[in-house]
Amino acid sequence: MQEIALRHHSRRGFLRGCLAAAAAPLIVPGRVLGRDGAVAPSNRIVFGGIGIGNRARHILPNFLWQPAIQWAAVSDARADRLASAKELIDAHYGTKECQAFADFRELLARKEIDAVLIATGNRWHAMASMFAAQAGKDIYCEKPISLSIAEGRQLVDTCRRFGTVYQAGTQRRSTASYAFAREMVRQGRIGRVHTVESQVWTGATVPHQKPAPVPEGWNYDMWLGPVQWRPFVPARVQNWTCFWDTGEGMHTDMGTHYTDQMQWVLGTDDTGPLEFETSDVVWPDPAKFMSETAISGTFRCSYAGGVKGVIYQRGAFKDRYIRYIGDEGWIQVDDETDLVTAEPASILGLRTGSGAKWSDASGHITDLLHSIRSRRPTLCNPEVGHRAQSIVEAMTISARLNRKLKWNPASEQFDCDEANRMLRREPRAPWCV
Amino acid sequence: MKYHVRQLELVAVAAMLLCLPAAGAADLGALAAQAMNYESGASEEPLRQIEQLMRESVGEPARRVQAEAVLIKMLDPAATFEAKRFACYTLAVYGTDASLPALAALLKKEETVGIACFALGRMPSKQAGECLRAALAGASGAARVQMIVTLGQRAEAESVEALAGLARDADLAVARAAVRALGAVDAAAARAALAALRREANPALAPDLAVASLSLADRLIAAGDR
Repeated sequence: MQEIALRHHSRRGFLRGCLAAAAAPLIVPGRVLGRDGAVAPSNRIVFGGIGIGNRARHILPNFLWQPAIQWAAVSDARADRLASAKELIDAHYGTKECQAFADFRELLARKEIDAVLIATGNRWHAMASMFAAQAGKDIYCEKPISLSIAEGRQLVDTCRRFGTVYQAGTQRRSTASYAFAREMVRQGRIGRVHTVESQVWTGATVPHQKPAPVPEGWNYDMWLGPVQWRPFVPARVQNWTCFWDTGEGMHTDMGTHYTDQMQWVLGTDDTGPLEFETSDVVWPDPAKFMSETAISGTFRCSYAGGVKGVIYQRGAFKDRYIRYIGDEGWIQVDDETDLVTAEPASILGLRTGSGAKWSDASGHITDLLHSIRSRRPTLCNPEVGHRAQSIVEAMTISARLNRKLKWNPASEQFDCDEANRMLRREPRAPWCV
Repeated sequence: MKYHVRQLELVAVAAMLLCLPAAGAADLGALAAQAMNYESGASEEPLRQIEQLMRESVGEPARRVQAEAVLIKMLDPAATFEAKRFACYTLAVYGTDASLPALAALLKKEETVGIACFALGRMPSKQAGECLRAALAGASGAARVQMIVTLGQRAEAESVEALAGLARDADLAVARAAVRALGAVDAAAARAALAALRREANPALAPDLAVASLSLADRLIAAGDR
């Protein structure tokens, strides 16, 4: 074995040693070095899918329709989903070549795979992304990018360290209606913005249910991943968004789309608000329900310049929106209809084109593909995704502690010890990066 | 430190509960008794009451001590796994050194190591790290890996010696976790330990050594060491 010891622990020498240690085992795709040799002969970007459940089924066609993409493999903790995903992809290509892996680490070990779609449940997003980055893969990961603020920062650092091109699945940045609203605000058409208001729908409640045997074909241990073990309860698993361990409720899950928009429009992608507070939060009745996350509530933040952000969790699914309110008017995008409204209405006459609505993620995927080839950051790169997610996470912490919190976006620390202890979660071994 | 003095611990919890005014003690005692039996499918009212108690006792040290005593009681061997799990999750946010003996007892059982680490990983007290290091020597298999992962999350210089030793363990899962944990520690000793491991050039550890070393290098840069 070659001697790779360092005489002095200087940073330069240290890095030299690290790179030597890394050279043999780590996969460095040729494209990273500017060579196309590692890319498939057709020059397609070869993708694999980690977590091929309901969300993946919605977005997968947007990937498969891209001529620059070849889908080569899938992975899922559920045998039924794994088999049907392979079937779907094989049918698309008219072959039997899609590989199926019960363990995503086997998929990541495949050298021919350049990039992955991560569409697992939220508990896995950050951990699977970091495993993928360390395996040399580029990433499209569904939102939210993480389930804790510290985990999000770790993801940012990991992607930077490994030169990963990463796109968070907050695809409204690639949606024409939202881009138009942003442009109008940025042009000062509604004056100085003082409030960004958005609404997500009322959260579900899940009645109590006893544990049951794990269904045949489920790898429940892999499904849980970094979450500390607890008995298999069907309704808890099926409604995982309603539990702190596995999701964090609607305002955190859907809310990250709107905080992402807010950050984009305000130009604060590398920072965040300074204060968080919540009010009117309605929690599930613990006598009837085992779900833990809020049914409804008002979640607020405020930025250094005095701009206020508000997420209302209330109303029906179809009633979701974001509205920018300035001292000379407002502009709103309705998520369900993609309709843009404004005051003064004359603003709407400035719209010159239209485009696909948010449910078509093709534009967002195209942005990722361009970045994979150019090695430039995507629209929703890890820092962008992390900052948007940090806002809803901080609101969640404020709600759970029932306390107004001050936040330092540079150090990413609260003014409260208990809130700081909620910045991260201990992963269940062996899941660590 | 030794944390297996269960009788003393129970006496301490009882003393904490007895310090309450009579009605309060009875209420909390009943609450603890109910919460200890929690299993999926049952009402979660006792759990939510305990959370409320923790939230509302901010700035009231005596009341907080009493509330923590309820959580400690839920770590009793007689409590269900799910009750212990809830208590550990809550102690991760509110727990103090008073809960360390009960958490240390959970580290001795494979079934409860993970949830104990969930609590210990986020407790700011140095004693929490000490508790983990003390338990590490007697642990094996998956339990040992979990403790190493948590020591990595805590990133204390005091863990370097133990982690450096474990990085040479015959159990590859243990060795790999130890290498990665070393990469999280900001200490000259951790850098030296990783350098020594690189010299040994064990190919099975190479990917983990690379990840750990790059992580350390990143933090050196951030600290201005270019």
